Amino acid sequence: MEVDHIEESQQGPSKPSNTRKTLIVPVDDAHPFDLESYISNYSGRTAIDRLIHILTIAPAIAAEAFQLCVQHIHQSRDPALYQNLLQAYEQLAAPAGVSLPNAMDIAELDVKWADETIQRNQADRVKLEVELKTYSNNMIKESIRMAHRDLGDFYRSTGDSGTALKHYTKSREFCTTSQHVLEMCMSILELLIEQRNYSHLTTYVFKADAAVDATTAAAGASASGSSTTPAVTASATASKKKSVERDNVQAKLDLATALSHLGQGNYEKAATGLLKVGPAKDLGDWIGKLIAPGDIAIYGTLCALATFPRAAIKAKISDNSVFSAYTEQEPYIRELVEAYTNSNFKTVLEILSRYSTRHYADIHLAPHVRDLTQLIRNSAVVLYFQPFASIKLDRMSAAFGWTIDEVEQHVVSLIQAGDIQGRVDSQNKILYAKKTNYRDELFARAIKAGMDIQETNQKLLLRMRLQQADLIVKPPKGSTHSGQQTGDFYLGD
Amino acid sequence: MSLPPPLSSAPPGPSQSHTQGYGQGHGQLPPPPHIDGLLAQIVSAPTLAALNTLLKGLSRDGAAAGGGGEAQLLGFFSDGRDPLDGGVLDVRVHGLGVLYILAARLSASFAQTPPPPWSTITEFCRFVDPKHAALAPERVTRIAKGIYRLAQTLGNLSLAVPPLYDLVTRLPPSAAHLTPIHPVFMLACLASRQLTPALAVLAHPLTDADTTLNPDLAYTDALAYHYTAGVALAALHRWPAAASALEIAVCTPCSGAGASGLGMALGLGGGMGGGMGGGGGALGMGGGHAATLTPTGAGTPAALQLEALKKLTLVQLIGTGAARALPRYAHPLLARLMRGGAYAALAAAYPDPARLKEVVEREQGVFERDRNLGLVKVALDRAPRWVLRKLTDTYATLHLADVARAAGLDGEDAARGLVLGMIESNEITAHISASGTVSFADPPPQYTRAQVDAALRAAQTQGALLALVDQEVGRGREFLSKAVKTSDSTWAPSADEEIFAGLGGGGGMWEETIYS
Repeated sequence: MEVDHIEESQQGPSKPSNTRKTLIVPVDDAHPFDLESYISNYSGRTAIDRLIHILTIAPAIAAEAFQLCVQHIHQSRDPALYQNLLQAYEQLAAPAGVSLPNAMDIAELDVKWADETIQRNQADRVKLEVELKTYSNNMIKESIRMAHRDLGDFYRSTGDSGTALKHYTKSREFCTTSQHVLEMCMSILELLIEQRNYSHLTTYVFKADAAVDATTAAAGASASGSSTTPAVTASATASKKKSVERDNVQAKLDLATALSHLGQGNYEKAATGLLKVGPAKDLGDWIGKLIAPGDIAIYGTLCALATFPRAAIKAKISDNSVFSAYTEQEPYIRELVEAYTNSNFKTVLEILSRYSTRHYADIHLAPHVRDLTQLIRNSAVVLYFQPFASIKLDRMSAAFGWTIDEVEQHVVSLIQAGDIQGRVDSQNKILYAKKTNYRDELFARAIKAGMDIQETNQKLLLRMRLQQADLIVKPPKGSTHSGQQTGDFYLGD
Repeated sequence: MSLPPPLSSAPPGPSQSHTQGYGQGHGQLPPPPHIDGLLAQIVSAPTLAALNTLLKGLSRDGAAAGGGGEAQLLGFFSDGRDPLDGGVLDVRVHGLGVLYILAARLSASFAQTPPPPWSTITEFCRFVDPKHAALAPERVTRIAKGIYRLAQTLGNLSLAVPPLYDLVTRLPPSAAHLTPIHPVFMLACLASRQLTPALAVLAHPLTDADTTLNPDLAYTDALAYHYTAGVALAALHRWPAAASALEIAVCTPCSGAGASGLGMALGLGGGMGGGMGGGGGALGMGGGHAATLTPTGAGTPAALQLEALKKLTLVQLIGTGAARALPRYAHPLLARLMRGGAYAALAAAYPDPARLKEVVEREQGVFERDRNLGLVKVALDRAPRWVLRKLTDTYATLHLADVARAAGLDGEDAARGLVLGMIESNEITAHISASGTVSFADPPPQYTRAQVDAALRAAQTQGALLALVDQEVGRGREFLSKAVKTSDSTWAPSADEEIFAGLGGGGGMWEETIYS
């Protein structure tokens, strides 16, 4: 058990860190990052995961992260995490060649605590499994469900997510009300978000959605049933309570969906989803356990800037009271949006680069920072060029804070992608907007379309005739015999 | 040749004796009888139809009697003269008779029976009355194939081109009709590299195929014709036309059910390869090798179609700089077979010079085996043009050195050559300044009134043709029976209702008008 346990937890977080091993982000005056205040937003396993992630990408604060992480581990029930942490730390030290203080000097694992925890875990596990067995023998559905749920929670807290998932899904069979199904779905969603298993999120969001609908329908029915008897107010309060509950669940589901889109690179959908997530209080214990309000602001804004047109950005971010509550958390996000809407692109890019460490430090956002930045930069260039008929590249380079060569390179790639309708005068470094003579183009297109259709017509006519005459490719009746003859003929003996 | 089931007018006989005609084992047959009597009958036959029955009956009776029936047609005069020589039969008058004799003689073994004089063949092809030929279409096919075979035996395939050209252009009811002679003609043109007559035929796209006129028309005819046409057009560097012909070959309809349908097409593909190998031109043409197509339940495309698709990909790369997706009606298996292969890799890399080089080096063997190396080379040579074409969309001015770098050319001189070449061939509009700066311009496409008128006229013709086809289909038995069957439930009642409603309404109106 113990051995499995370690392997499991090693596989989880160490895999992403392997793929991103080369990525090193600086933490200095130009890229401020306050680890302590950042991590204070999180608790539990996500804090540990985040710290390990930060540790792998930012050697400058690795020691600090290590220390904090050990503290967090001591609060958890999973001593194996320490092995993980140590491994990540040593991996960082090896290739980077950075001289890091010895791990043992910074913080050491409390061996006594570890032994105790392992023992306690062992005891709990036995206890819970015995309970499950008894309930199963007695065939008490509700108790079996709860036993599975407890086991799931237990394995989750000890870091064995595979078994946890197994127990959660097993409990599905013993759910008697849609409320129970919903509970199960939410537990699994939490687990999946923790695991960063984005592709499976939508399945359970979908199931949870159905369960929520069923719950509210049932509540509605019971409410209408009870309203015949005395209190209309009672049913009103009941349904109101229900709707609050529903809001809570809905906010969580929206967030889970948005995260799954983000994880799979559907930035536009992610932005739409994040911008409609309900207020932070609806997210309940997910805040801190899984995500910080500031994260929602960052994800949502970056995705929106990367994919939305400017009008939509204004309408959906600046004039969105719920979302602005989130942006309060990260004041620079507000600056970013303002700079963008004011076409102050140099500032936008500066802010993006200044806070890139903050973005790379986020476990959900890290794999997408580069793409998102690229997209934002592209749309900024496109927006900037829109009103001009021609513009000197050095003016653009001033506006974006790039060298002229960089500008040219960006512009050329955007032209080739079809995002900018223009041409570069590479000798005089001027970008011209393409002038189209619509009348001529119309003629050209009409004539081309006519020719194409004629050709297609002829092909289809022939095809139709061939089919009518049954002249279709089919296996020769005499198989090789008849084939031989044709072959002979074409070979000409 | 597997003939389609003969229609009522054609007896099953010819195909059997036809098979014999090819056979090499004629040695034991007795020498053919003299033809004097038969010739007298031909000359004195009262009507064409009667003569046709007589001649056709010959082979049937012959087959029933165990051979020798058609052998009569191989006979000479009793004094040893050749019936086809010396103007005994006038092609213009006795076309049908000459046709039968010629068909027999041309499909017999040339070692046993002396081939007919070439002058008779040319004369026949030039002057035979299409009405005569229409009576025995399968014999005409035999003549066409015989001409090809004879020319090959004589060692000069180009001889076969003019008579075949006459047959192809004179006999079909219109230039849009496909006949079994088409593939033979195109193959002769291709093998003898006489492509000018081929162009004249290719100028008319085929849109009609009629098995009532040509009962021995087979799917291979359409397939082989368009494949060879595509290769011929590619050899002439007419890329759009070549692409279109190859696309037709690729999209030849496939049967809905069938297991392994490759025997015939494979033989054909291999045969082409052999034929072209002799030509040995700069382009590696032909080359149907045994592709292993896995048979599926939904019919299998011919191997030649796959070969055509490979060539189509290359031709499209050369002609347009990118491979296009196949039409939706193409067999899905073909696209699947191409995926991940050498040609798909080439198309994906095109026209990036560095990646192209890598793909070609890696897949050299495949291209060579498919005998497509010639086309691949052309595609490679033209890749810089497509790069430059792309650059003109992006840049207004560019230095020659940049052009050379982007197109993977070594040096400004090569780039200058490329730009000049493209300006000359009207592919781009640009000028090069003394300092080596290329300025691109894109003058708007200009169309003259005549061009627009021509386009409109073509569209009108096409529309009229389509309307005609529509009418034809609309009154066809097949369509009507289907339309009635499917419309029974949905259309008919509503139509009835409409009628009744109309009647009722009309009646009501009437009454009102009467009584008011």
